[in-house]
Amino acid sequence: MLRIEHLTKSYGEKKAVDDLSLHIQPGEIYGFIGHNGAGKTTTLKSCVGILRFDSGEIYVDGISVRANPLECKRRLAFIPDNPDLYDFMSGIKYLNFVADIFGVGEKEREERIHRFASMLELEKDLAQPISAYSHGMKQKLAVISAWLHAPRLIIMDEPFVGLDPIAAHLLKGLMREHCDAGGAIFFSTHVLEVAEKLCDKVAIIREGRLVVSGPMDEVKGNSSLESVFLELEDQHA
Amino acid sequence: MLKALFKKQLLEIREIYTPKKYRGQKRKGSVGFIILYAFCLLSVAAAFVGMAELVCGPFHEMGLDWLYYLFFCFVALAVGIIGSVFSTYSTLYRAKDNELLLSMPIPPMKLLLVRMLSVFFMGFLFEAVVLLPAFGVHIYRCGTGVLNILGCLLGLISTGLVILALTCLLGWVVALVGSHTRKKSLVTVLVSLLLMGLYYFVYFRLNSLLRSLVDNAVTIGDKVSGNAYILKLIGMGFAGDAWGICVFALIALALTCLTVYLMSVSFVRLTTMNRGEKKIVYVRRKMTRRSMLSALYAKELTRFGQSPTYLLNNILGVIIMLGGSVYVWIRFSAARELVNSLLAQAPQEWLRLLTIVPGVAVSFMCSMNAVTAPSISLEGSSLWVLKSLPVKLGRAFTAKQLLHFTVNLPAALVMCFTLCALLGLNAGQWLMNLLYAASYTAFSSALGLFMDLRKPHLDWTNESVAVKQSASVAIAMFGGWALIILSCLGAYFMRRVFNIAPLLFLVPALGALALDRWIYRRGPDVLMNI
Repeated sequence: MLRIEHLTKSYGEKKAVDDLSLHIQPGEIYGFIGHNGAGKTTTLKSCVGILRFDSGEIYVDGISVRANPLECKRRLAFIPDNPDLYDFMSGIKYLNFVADIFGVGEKEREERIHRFASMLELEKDLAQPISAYSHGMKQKLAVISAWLHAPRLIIMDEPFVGLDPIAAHLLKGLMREHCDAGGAIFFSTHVLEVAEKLCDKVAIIREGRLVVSGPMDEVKGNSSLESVFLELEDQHA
Repeated sequence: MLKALFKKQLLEIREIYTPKKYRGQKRKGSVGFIILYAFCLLSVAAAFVGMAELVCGPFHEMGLDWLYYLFFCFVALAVGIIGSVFSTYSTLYRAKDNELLLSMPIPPMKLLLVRMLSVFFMGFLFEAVVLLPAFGVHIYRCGTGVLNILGCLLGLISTGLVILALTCLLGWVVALVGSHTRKKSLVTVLVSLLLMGLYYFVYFRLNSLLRSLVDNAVTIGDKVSGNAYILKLIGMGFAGDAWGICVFALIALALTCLTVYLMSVSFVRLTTMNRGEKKIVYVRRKMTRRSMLSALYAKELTRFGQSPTYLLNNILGVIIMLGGSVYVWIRFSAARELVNSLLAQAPQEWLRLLTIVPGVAVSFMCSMNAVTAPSISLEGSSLWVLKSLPVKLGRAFTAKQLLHFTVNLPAALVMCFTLCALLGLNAGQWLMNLLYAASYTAFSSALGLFMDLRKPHLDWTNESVAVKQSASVAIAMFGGWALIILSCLGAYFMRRVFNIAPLLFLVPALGALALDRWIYRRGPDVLMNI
């Protein structure tokens, strides 16, 4: 579903991501963990086609992000760490805008907006301007817009930040449901407990380089993900 | 503390005009843009040099130098206010870092003073384009002394303070009225336009007073008294009269202090007031599907309609064009008579160039409505949406340009049509002028977008920075004027060799083609790398 091969991206002299390779398969929830500034957001944005990378390749469903970014974008959805949406629109206008861009049919968009917005308890607020939304409400709207066009791959940067416990629980359910239906999810998080319980596979990155990756059970063994992460941080410090 | 705040504000202003390259790259290429910016400003200043040349000599010979300075002081006030008033409200009250700064132990008065610095800078930039050429011409033609130079410098600052006070008062009234209503965007637009109308009503009355002073200069000059004497003192201050310098400086300071006092009383309340609208509960209804271009266009249109700063900054020219056209049609006979009498006195060789006046005049107005110039910067922190969606960025550019046409083209064609009728042009000349107006609209949309792609400013703390104060907007506006002035000068100097006036529309048309070629070929890459 998503194949990252030898990805390298620098900002001036600094290498943000260095020779990173990962493979996310259909049905997998893949967690991406690292300290602040480790290169997680850069990697995610490169996968989405927001950032141009220096070398390596990224494939979505076998299509190169570098060679055919539009086709890749049609197959995925992205939720950034800070959901800065169009403040001048209402929630429903934003969702319709996204649906128009992805060419979602009238019936499908109506059904999906109703389903996800009522599930996340945002439906009544959809007529409100986004500028009046709280951070959590914006995050919920970003989640609905991501699921709106039924993408195969969903990439999320810190998706649980700002969500209330109920919405966070619902999002976890949505993620599992999506992957059970053959989709894939690649997301970054600092909440290691969530990653440990939710992810099928995990990758830990440090200063742009992959430290460890694989199935959750293999990576953490008998200890917790937190102790593995802290141990690896100490080793590489 | 005040020093630290001023430093932050100055950094913000610096960032507006020489924005850093994004993604950690070093700032480069700014020198070229500063030169281009300076060139554009100088082109506009050149027009005021011409104006000053016309009146400086006669006024000096009559010993009415004070009237010369007073006249340009009023022109500078008009230009400064129109240039900065629409961004004042958002600069003062809607900055993104207001809450952050108010949470720090900073007295609100200091924060207000720092915000006012940005407003002052904006007004100062516009007034300087008028006053500096006027000073230069007077010094060149009539000589100068220490007091005259001191008077001009202090007069420049005092005029800036008066502009600051008046624009801040207008912004304050807008905020006060807006705090009592839920439809804040609409109210902001309406109150701003109403206040502008009121200001210019009073202003034009003063202008007619000035005109009568000019017409009967010597007689009236001897008899000035009361309020008019204060005006005379102000003019004399510029000319080097120590008493006049002090009076103008005191008036400007008093007005500024009064404004600061009035605003400080309600600053925190107006800054932190809940911007929430009346809660509307969403009701499910049938949804319609649109094409990608139409969705992108609707997005641009919504942004335009929802942002008072963006809207006000770009519809003033439209209102003037449409309002002026309606007025001309209502009083068509009288206007035609006036034009005919003016044409009868005009030198014969000028008449050939008069045939391009409608297109050129309309284009000058359109330059003020640089809709595309802040359109990339306005994406701000939500630029990721456009980048992450499967949108051909060329279509996003087209949507931005379409909005520019929607705002400008109908009004431009109506005014052009009106002026052609007023001047009694023939069918070929009508066509030529309409082509000029249309091709200039295309040029200004392309120039604005080109500039904003080259010099985007996404980290703004309030949207007036992107809409009003960014380098891209200034260069798009003044650059448009520069193109018009230079092409007209070209036509004027070549008039004896070849009358290029009928082909003048090709200048903006070719400019638009060249810029659009760059925008659609290289623009998407440039945008992705921002």
